[in-house]
Amino acid sequence: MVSQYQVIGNSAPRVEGIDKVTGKALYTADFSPPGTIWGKALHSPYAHARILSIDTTAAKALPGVHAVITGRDVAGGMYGRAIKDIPVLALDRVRFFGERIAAVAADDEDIAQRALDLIEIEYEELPAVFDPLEALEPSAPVLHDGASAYQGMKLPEGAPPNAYSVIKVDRGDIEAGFAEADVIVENTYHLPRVHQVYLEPQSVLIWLDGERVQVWTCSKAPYNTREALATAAQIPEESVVFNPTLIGGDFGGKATPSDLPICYFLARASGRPVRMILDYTEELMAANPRHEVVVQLKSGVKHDGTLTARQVRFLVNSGAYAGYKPAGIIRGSNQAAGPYKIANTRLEGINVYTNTVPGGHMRAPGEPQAFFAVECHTDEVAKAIGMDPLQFRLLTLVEEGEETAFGEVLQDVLAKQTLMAAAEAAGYYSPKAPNVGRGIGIGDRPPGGGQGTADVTLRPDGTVLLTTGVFEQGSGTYTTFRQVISEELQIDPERVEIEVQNTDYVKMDSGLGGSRGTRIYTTAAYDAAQAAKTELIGLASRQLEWPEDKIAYAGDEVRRTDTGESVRWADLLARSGDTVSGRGHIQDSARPHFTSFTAQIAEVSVDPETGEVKLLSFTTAHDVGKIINPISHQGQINGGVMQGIGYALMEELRVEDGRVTTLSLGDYKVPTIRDIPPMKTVLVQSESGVGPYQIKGIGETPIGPVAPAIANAVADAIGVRVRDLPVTAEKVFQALKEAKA
Amino acid sequence: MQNLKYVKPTTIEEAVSLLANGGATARVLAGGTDVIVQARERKREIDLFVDIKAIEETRQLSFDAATGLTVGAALPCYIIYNDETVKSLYPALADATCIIGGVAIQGRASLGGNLCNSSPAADSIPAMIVLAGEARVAGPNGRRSVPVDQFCTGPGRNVLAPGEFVVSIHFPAPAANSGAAWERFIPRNEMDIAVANAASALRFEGDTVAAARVAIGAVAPTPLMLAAAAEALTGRPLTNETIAAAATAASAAAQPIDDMRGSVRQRRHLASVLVERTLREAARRAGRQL
Ligand SMILES: Cc1cc2nc3c(=O)[nH]c(=O)nc-3n(C[C@H](O)[C@H](O)[C@H](O)COP(=O)(O)OP(=O)(O)OC[C@H]3O[C@@H](n4cnc5c(N)ncnc54)[C@H](O)[C@@H]3O)c2cc1C
Repeated sequence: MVSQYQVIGNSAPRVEGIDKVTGKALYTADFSPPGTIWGKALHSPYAHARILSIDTTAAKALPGVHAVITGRDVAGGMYGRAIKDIPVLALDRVRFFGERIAAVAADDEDIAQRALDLIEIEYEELPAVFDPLEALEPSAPVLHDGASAYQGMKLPEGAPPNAYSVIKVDRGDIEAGFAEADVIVENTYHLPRVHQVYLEPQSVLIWLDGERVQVWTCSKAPYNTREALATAAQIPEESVVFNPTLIGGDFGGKATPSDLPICYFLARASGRPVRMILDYTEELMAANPRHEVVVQLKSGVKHDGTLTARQVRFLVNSGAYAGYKPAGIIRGSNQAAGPYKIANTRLEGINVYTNTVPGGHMRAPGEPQAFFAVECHTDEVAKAIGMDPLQFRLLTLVEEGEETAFGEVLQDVLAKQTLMAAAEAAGYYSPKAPNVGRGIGIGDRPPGGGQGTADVTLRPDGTVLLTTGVFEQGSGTYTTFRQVISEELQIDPERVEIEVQNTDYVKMDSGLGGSRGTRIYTTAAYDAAQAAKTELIGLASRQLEWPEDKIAYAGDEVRRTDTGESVRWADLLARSGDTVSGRGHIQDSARPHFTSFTAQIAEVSVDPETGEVKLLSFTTAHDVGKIINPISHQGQINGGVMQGIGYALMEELRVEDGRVTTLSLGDYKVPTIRDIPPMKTVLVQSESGVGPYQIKGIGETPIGPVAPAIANAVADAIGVRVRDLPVTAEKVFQALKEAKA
Repeated sequence: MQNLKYVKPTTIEEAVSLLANGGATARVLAGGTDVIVQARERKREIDLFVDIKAIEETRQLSFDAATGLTVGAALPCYIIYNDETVKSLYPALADATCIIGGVAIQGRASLGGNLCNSSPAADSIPAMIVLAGEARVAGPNGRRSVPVDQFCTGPGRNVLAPGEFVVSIHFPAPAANSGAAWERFIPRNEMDIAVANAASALRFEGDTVAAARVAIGAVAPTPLMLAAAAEALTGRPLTNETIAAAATAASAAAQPIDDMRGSVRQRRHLASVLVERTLREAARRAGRQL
């Protein structure tokens, strides 16, 4: 097929790539206005305690210390994204191990640390609750007595203690559905907390420069983070400027206000620019990890494979606060029913406070948890009726025009096609050696929405400037911009320059996240390019006295369609000494009428003597729209799958009595390249998509079904089922031993 | 990172006097892959680094068919496992050094550092134990030799007295009809701390095991040499039964702890599996079919 595009659809090198590999690229830690000093926060050594007294005398007296602040110095400031429930510094109570209690600004990091060691705090320990199920018990300690007063909080009526959000959906008649079933299968799955493990830790630099609060921070949603900071500091949002900086990896975790308000108060108290950079111990202890979730699933099925009912209880352990979650809660109960046709469903999603580290966003928030539960459960249901897991899925996956378990009707549904593509590429039915197994995972999600702006300026030297408020977090948005402009203005990509504006640029920009980047910003850039062309044609008409409707844009030139005359637009601009610009703005948060399926197949071998799982190969199939930049698209697939492999086999923020114990990247394990098996990608072309190029998102879809595919493969290999991630050698070995006994 | 002083002596005597005068806050610096991390994380109070890498004897690698192999204490792993003599005559040492950390770590990490850091999970120590390694120590009172199996006294503790450091590690020449092997278990495929590790060495006379050395790591406060396992093997032909007896002796001797890297029961079990596997590989390397 001949593409209608010249640039779109061809792999393009990164705009910021050379700067990154040569060390020229600037991240938050690289900015250092004169007089910059270091800030550091003191973390609670208790999961739940009353603060009786804080003595900062010795810390303040240490030479090199410029400011020491506590909860009394932050004007009662509370922060958070949708729900403002986090005290900037704990005032009289700490609710998790790692909560920030006091902070110091000093000449260097070492002095700051020593000053923190000198702060004396008296605590009175309180009964704590760590387990999300226990937190719902009537006898559980209540974390937030005044929760209803929090800005952004809408407490559900009659909810159990600590449950601050309860969402219920009922479809059909659940009781009748179960009554109709031949077999009922009920399982509980447990998903641990995991960390995003971006290379660049959370970093911020704040400088009170006269009237303006100058901020450098690795936030991929700078406008939202600015609001959170302004609210916490009780200052007008317009007084705060977030300055452009590259972001060293995000994976969902880089839009949290975390240390920003503290850094602001330290800058105010010390009168100096203050930098705060978490070390990785702090990251693992008190950043904003993916949530622990307990999923209870119950399904009714007939011997012929018809699913008659499914009940989902999706219990999200929020941790001690809700504020790190952009929407206040984590969904997932809808996805935990799966992309299957089931007439009768009951979904319940609960977010509950416990005395543990608050969770935030990580790549496809809620989905890997949901997909793990429902895709393992799907295999267990298939097994209960003696059906092959692939056949069972082909029988029950939704089709065009059918309602999902959640009651949505989608268009252009490629569930079965995507699954079959994966099965064929993986040789699903080919013979297997002993202790080798294959497992399936499938899931779907549409790209998210939001708002974004882009400006395009044509300049007299023939170059084009693309202006944006996006802070690149590594997924290639600037490169996408350059491709769109190059395509639409028919010029060499080298002639497109990207300019990044601070937050004075527009009123609001959603930034990156929710797989919205390509959807929002291709549209904004496309519209800006068209607007600039229109402006140019207007200018040409005025200058050359050509009729506007007879002028066409043609690469380097504007051309008269009737006479064939043409003029280079650079010359036109040079003559008038002018530039020509156009703006594109999009605000579109609607859930599209299509989704995007990911079907994956893992092949593993299991060592029965140790329980060790070796991943032999991994196949991932995606239903895709137009792919703008194939190399970046594949990068998202590879990276998502690798992160999913970590989730499946090794990653876990271990918590004992509320305290994270895996406090270094030696103990918190992420896969290395040697843990990655040969991978096969299959792309299934879809007719649908959004925006000028009909795209679908790819940032989040690849991660979700990885873990269930692997767990299902382990069950296929040796007949034992691990229902709590990660699937470690020890769990597999114990399960084998129990199965033998 | 703490502020600290750095010196790089070129003779053993200089190093000894720097260490002796420096007291408890002076540390030897070899590859630095343990000690720089510890200094940065303030796990150790350090105000002087004595870099021993300019002392020639700490960088040697010499073999003599009569006396054996001497490995400088600061020689990085990659030189050890790429050495032809090590590969052909001491493959267990290659097994244990080629997996320490990743490529970058292997460019710096040393046997002396691995031994003197004295982690219970140190990977090279069981291999050095079954190869009958001896640490050659220099100190204020001159030189002495300490068998590697008697070197560690607890987690992060060893027999070195103030002012002493390890100059090299010596291994006897391999006997005829002998073989040794090393293995570990880790949750991922590289860059990991052993949940358990083990090494075995066997020498045969005819069909009989004439001598056996078995060691396990990460399952006790120090790496352990297992006399009971050796006893179960020595003086008999190597059979599935004697191997199983040695493996059982290994789980019995293990006194592991529960931590985030592994549980007591898993570590005990792994000790036996790894002992069995290294025995089979050691026998294979000694030219035996089982
Ligand atoms: C990413 C990473 C991965 C790692 N992976 C592994 C692994 O897989 N297996 C493993 O066992 N270890 C591993 N380690 C730990 C470390 O690399 C090894 O223990 C290494 O052998 C230490 O050697 P070094 O030369 O770097 O020691 P250094 O850090 O220089 O020294 C370690 C300690 O020994 C002392 N010391 C060093 N040499 C002498 C000497 N000659 N005499 C007296 N004292 C001395 C030092 O003062 C210090 O206390 C890893 C470390 C890192 C950072």
